[in-house]
Amino acid sequence: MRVGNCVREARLAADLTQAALAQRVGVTRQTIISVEQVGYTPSVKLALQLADALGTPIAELFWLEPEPDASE
Amino acid sequence: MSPLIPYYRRQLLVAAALGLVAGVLLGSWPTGLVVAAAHLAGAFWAPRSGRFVVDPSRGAAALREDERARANRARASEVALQVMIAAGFLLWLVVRASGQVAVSHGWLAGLVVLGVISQIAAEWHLDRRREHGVGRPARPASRTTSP
Repeated sequence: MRVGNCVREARLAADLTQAALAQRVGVTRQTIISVEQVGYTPSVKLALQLADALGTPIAELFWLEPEPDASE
Repeated sequence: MSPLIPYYRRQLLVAAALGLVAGVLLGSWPTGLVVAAAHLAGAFWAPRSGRFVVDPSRGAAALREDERARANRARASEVALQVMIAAGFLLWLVVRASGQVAVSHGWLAGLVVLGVISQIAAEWHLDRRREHGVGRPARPASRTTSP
């Protein structure tokens, strides 16, 4: 199972830049980019901070999804 | 005035110290100057690199790594350690097969250099890592529809 997210959509809906969101939650802009591109799965603490900063319930922001089938 | 002045002031002192140490140890002041200049260049680049969280309220320690950078560094250290252990084992086999009883300092220094290179390469790779071949996943349909 991997962790999917809609941080980018929520950030754009909140009218925030990646740099502004990064500053709000105390991480680098590269970490926000990596989270949005699903290259990095954030810790529970950072996920909660992101949900708080974006005003979105964490269950709406992050979800589990099955690994893509390698044969496809 | 830049809020990062305390940070730059400390880096200037560190650069001077590093240059002094390099100059004395290597017996070459131009080399010391190059070392100091390289450190200063890195110190000026770091706040603009996007790799550190910049918090001017922390004064001289204004730059810090975030959780992703720390996780990548820890993973890279594991990789570097594994590479060094594997290379050390290989070296031991070669030395044993050749009937020698001692390993030269050059080979041991080479192991350390290999570890450093492995650390840098692994950090670079992890920094650019994306999930395997899937890009950004689509949002599940159940989350896009209203109840």
